Amino acid sequence: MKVLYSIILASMLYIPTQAQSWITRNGKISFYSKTPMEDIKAVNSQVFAAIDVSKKTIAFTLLQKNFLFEKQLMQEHFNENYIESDKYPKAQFEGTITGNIGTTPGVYKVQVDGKLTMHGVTQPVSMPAELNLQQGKLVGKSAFSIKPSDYNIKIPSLVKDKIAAEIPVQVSAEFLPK
Amino acid sequence: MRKRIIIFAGVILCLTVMAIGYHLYNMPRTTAAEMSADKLVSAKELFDAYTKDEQAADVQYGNKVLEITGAVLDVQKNGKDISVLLSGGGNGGGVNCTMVGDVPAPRKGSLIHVKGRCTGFLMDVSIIDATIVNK
Repeated sequence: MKVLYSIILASMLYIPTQAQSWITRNGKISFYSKTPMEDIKAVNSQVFAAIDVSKKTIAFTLLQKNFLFEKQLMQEHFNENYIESDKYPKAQFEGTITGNIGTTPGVYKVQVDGKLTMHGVTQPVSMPAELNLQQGKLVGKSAFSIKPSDYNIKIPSLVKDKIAAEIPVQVSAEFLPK
Repeated sequence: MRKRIIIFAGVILCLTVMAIGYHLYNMPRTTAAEMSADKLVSAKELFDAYTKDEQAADVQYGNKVLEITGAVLDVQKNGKDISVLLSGGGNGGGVNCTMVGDVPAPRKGSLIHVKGRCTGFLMDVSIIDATIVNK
């Protein structure tokens, strides 16, 4: 947790000469659980994320209550029964980037490895990512999957067929230099 | 005859319960825009409360629909989504409001009123389902 905030605070305080540190307050993380019984989608548009290109570190943090569902009941069940957002309000990821990130505009394919903490459980996560360096901004995209059972999220047997055992997660963020 | 009436009433009752259950299950999420504000607060007051004592501020403001008044520090567009950062009055932090629906982007520096649900604090106070209130 301290490392996460150190990375983010260092990114906020650092005045770059060649934009080594990038942050966003409004990164987007969505997940899509698809089963024959039901499709469930939620989007969180307030992900705070930071990338330090020189140190090749990345961190993000989000509030679980910022995941928005189409249906009211899904929103309530997610917060109250599954993710227990009053008890575990935040999720965090800290990781390192492997691969070349150039200093000229272009698309750089990298690998991100780190630790994701949510629902009070920390698990290793690896994901391929694409960093698109443009004039004045860095656009990042990635995707990975999580299993609710890995994070001690208990799904009642009554709705087990409605929630996928492995849920794809999409990440996208437009970083600005800081 | 009486047996038929009872069976018919039972079927109607079952169908009614099923219809209510189906309606409740599929009810769209209620956005803060459709609700009246629980509290009126300035962006500075809200940001100060969270930076001073996050837990106490969460008891006061968390999960509540707030109407917040503040100066626009930054506007970020991400596809159709617009996020407005209201100044917390100090070091660049403030109140981050994710707008719902098609909202015209406010000018930087303008004083606006935003209604939305407070969900807690990251580096800023987080407001979702937000709309601009015209006064």
